[in-house]
Amino acid sequence: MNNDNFIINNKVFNSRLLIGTGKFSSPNIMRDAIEASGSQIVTVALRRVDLEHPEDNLLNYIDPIKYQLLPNTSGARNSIEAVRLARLGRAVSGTNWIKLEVIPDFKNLLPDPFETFEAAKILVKEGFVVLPYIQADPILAKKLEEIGCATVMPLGSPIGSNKGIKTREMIEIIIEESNVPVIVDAGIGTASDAAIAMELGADGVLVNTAIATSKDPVKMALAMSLAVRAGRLAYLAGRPPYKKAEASSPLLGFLEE
Amino acid sequence: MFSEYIPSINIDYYKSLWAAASKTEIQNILYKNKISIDEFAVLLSPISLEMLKDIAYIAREKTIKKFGYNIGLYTPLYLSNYCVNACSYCSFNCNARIIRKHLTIEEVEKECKEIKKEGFDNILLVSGEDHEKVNINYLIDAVKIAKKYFSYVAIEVYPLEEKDYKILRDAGLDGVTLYQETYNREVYKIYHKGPKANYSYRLDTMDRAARGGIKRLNIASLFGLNDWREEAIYLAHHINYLRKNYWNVDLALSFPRIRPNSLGFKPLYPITDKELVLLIASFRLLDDSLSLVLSTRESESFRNGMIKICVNNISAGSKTNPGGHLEDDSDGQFVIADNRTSRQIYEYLRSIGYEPVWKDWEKVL
Repeated sequence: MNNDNFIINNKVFNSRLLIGTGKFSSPNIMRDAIEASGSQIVTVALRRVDLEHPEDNLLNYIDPIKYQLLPNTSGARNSIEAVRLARLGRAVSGTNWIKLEVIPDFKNLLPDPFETFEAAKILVKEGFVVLPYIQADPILAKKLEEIGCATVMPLGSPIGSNKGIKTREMIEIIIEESNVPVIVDAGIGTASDAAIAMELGADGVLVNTAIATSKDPVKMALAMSLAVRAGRLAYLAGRPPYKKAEASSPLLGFLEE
Repeated sequence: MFSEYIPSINIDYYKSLWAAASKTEIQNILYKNKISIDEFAVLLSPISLEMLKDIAYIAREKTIKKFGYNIGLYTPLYLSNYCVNACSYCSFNCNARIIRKHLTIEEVEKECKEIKKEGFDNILLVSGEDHEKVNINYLIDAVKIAKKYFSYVAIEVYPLEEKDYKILRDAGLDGVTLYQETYNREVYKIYHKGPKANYSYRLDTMDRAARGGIKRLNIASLFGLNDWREEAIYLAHHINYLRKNYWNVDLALSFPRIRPNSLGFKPLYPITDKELVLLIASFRLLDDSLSLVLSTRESESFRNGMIKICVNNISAGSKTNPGGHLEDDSDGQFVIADNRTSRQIYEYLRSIGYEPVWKDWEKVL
């Protein structure tokens, strides 16, 4: 594992688990869970960054030296809003990394591919390191890679659904075809889901709801970190085939006659 | 428009569903991930009151999964208590002898500063219906002033035209709150005199607001005017209708119960505390992405209880009289049942392991 580094935009990380900061019951529990997860990349919704209430400002609980801050554009419904939020994020957080989320649908919280693509084009040009949250669509993933996104972040199932990797077939294609890191984002409900994503060959996973709303977020954060490592190791080790080949193949029997 | 859709709702059919419901049927609904409006009607059945514990438990699970431990905080800012309508249940009724006040834009700004000090970043501008004192130009100015101080600005005023919503959106308006009061056309007639008597125009307000580009719509019935189960069915249809036709708006639902006011109005169809819990929790089971709102019309203990079940948005530190954050020289709309300051609510939420959310929006959105 020593040389198995996780690299995004030339920056090297040891942990392949990314953490979201929403839905926690208190900023202290959030901070402890992040610590337990061993994660080095932490995403924060800009609309929740509250400069007027320092005690409630999530940014004050995340050490920007220890962690790569990843502001996100949650709340943006179109490319214009996302670009505005990203610029604000750069000013507030001091990083040019941005997790691009464009979600026009408040019921299922699914990302808009057209608006995400438009926003990504603008943000890449403006020098942002763009990590777009997308539907598990292999063509969209390639197009975002082509215009210079640092990663792609396909969803496993809808945000907050805890349903696991329902888009498996498409995620496998994205992983196979991608030249940039693939981070499975959304839908991971428990540790085994994270392990499955990693076994498929994902470069990382992002988890929020499953940790924040579990009974013991710190323990779940640790479980996720172990699952991500286990899944990664299994992927690197190579899965043995499902079934042993048969000793004699009736198909080739005629060759021996 | 919703006024064209509403005649298709057959209330007698739903009445037969909640009248015939059995515990087994309800139990089976509780196992489901998604429920239909028919199943929602079964959930509203009187028998469900005996299973309230189970229903509340599922509502809590769904709420935490969707919203985590976040509770949004907002406060109303009353612009004016002048009103040309004569609604028999409302103390802003034009025939009521109350001390009237209308804030100048300078006074609106003073109130905004005061409210900002209390910590809020989400404000609801409220007014009675008076097209002279609170006209569209006044509303534009009020929204612009409020937007200087708050990320999120909504209005709860009389119904407007689509073009007015567009103008207000461009001035910074994020949300529109408007209660139908009652969806039953005949009952509606009894209570409303004045321009508000136009039932269909009020009913189509959310269509006009959505078409005008408003992002968040908050609807409700005023519980007490009509059978609450009937209102719940109409509300469920209104929600489904809005979702289908304006798929990218965010929807919120409030549960105002008629409160004691200066008129001494007694509701014909009171709803009990237990029934109100069932009603609110059933909406969470119907639609887990709805924001469920509970104002200071409800008591401290009731609100504390509902936060732990499924309410995710509450008002705090409310004054229902214009200018009430600075002076107390006018009459309010209703008696506040939860008098805690915003700070006390904040501390309470922290103490039970919930995250009080002042800010959940950006001005650039």
